[in-house]
Amino acid sequence: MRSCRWIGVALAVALALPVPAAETSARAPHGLDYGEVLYQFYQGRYFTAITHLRAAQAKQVLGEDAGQGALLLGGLYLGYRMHGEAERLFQRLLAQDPPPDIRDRAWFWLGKVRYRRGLDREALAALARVGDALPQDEAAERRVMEGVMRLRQQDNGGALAALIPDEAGEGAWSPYVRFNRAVALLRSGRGAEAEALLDTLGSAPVVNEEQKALRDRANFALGMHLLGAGRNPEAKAVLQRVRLEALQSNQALLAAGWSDAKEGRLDMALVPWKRLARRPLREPAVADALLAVPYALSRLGGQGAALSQYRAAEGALTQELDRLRGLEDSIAGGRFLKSVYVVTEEIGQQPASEWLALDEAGRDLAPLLADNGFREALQDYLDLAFLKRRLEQHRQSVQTFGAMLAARRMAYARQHSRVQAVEADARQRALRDWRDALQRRLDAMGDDALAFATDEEQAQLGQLNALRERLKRLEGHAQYGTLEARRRLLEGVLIWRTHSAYSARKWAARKGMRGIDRALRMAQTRSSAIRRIERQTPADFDDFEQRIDAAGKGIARLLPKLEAAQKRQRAHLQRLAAHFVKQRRARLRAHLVQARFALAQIYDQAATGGAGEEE
Amino acid sequence: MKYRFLVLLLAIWPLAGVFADETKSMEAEVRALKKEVLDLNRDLFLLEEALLFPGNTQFAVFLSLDVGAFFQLDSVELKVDGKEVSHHLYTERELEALKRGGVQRLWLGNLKSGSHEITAFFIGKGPKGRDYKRGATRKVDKGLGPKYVELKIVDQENNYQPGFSVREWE
Repeated sequence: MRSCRWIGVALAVALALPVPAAETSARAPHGLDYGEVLYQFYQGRYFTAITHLRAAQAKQVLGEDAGQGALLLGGLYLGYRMHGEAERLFQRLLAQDPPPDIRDRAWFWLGKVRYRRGLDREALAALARVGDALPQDEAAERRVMEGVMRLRQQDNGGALAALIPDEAGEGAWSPYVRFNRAVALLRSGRGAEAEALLDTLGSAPVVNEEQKALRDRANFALGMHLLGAGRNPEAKAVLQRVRLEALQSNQALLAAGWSDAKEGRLDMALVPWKRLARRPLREPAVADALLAVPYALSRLGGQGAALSQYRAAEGALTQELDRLRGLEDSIAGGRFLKSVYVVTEEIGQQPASEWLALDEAGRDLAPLLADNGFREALQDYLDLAFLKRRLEQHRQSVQTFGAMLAARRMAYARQHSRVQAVEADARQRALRDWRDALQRRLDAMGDDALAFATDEEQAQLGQLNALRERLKRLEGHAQYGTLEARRRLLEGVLIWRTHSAYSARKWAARKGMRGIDRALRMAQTRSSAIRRIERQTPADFDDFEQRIDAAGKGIARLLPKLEAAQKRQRAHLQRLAAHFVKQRRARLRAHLVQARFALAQIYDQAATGGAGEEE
Repeated sequence: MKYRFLVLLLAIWPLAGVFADETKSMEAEVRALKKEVLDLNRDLFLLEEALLFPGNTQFAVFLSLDVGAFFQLDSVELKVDGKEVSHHLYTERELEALKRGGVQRLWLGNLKSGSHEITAFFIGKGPKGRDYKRGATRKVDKGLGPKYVELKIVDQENNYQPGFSVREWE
């Protein structure tokens, strides 16, 4: 019977699942918009990531990243504990008949949503639809989830079938697959296999805190199992592998003491129990140790020392009960929430313990943070506070937007008259007329090379013509022939030059015309754009005004709702915390009764002439 | 005595079940509120962008990073038409996000249509941990619609040096 209970403890802490972020597939090139969302997401800025992702979806700019984006958004909703939204999103995605990689991941995430909601049957149905296109890590996570759910359903065979270690290599989920497999093996009565697995996990080299925590958990589970099986020395050796700063350290110290006590070595048991009894009285294991120490002393025959230790335990328990009464007052006054502070600037979806911390005054409530229900309620409370702060900031922004729009309307009114003046300006039409005249002139020039002569050449031709007229008057003069010959030579040279340059000049003229056409077209495009903007702007202003107005009204409507919800959430947390303290006090009172009963027994023995007492 | 210790050790703290109904109703209310605030936040984000950076003048510069084996980015300085518009110092978290495939929007602003000069200086540690500063300049034609430029730092396997490229997106 006892061993079953010990195993029960081991299993209660055994079902191990880290809470990963809504990871996307391995590094791959993405579009700018989705890449920017990932930039926020990878920094743990989930609120911003959701906002940017939803904005990109609204603008329909995700392109090929749309499927991945939908998966990421669903994962982010899940991290925000918006299970309904996440479920609907994955259902919508699956209804679109996505490609196999997206489809498998959507089924996986749908299974995960349902798993988180505690809908095991539905979650298993979704996971059963996952094909073989799942990335390795998610495939391992799927096996862990399925294994845990099968264990919850007491289906140990099913769990063992799901929790098969990955042959493809070690991934982040591999230790969790093995750990939960060990649990399934224990429950199936295959202790030897389970021990081998837990021993491997418990002695594996570790690098980071997560691995250390899992190693502690494996050693603790194995130690408890061995203790339950009556293999006390082995149990002690394994329990001693649990780090002193581990989450299970108090229970491991207590159990290590019991492993000696069960072997009749109470003097050895005193070593871990005394160490545990010196620790702050925040966990039942410490209170147990407070009583276990005098119990061992008494059994060793040291009645005097036992009496003294029972008195010390009585004092410590009484003091702790008084202190907890003060804590109850603090909870009733709502002050305890000030002891919890958020480590990050944004709300994340990592395990709350990584994002929340307690100050010295709040350390008593540390076990509360380990409770899933409380942690989620607290996270919701912090979400509400964060969202309220955001809305308050937005309220100011909306006022600024309103002022900005009013300024723009005024600027538009000023620009409007200028634009109209530009439109009315005859210069554009004059330019077009000028261009047409040029074109006509160019057409008229046809193939006449002289028409393409430069101004200088035209002037020179004119001079030569004038010279010819002057020479006519000298006809019959002795020099006439010589001079006319020279004039003709010069005229010939000039005509030859214009003909030589004709092709290039005609090409340049046409090119020039094309340039003019381009410039005119650009002016026309700009003019059209200005006209379009001119027509559209008042409608845009009206649209902006409506959107600003709607946003302002939305903020005004939501802020009081957020405030009221935050208030209710705070009251809810207070009730949870008060209940926790009440339970703790009840447990401490039970310990106190035991201490007083033991004291009475010792006094009774002394009064009835018990021998060998010491002071 | 032993058994009592065991029973106490096994005591399970049944907090979740005690306030189950209350928790459920609170959760439903909080979820609905979150949905409303997220919707509003998206609308405001779109409104802000449309109002402050209209499509016809919108100009954005993005930065992306390859594996980063040959270059450890410390900061980036960005100039548009000779004027410094952004100077960003990177945190570990930001670098990690870039290395995992995130793309940073380094600058979002308004520019008139026409030709503009984009200059970026990448400062950090180059191969063998040496101080490294490199610049990249590009003339960009901005049309009537929005324009996006991506600065990309890549690992060049052929010469074991970082490479810096500029890509235009419409």
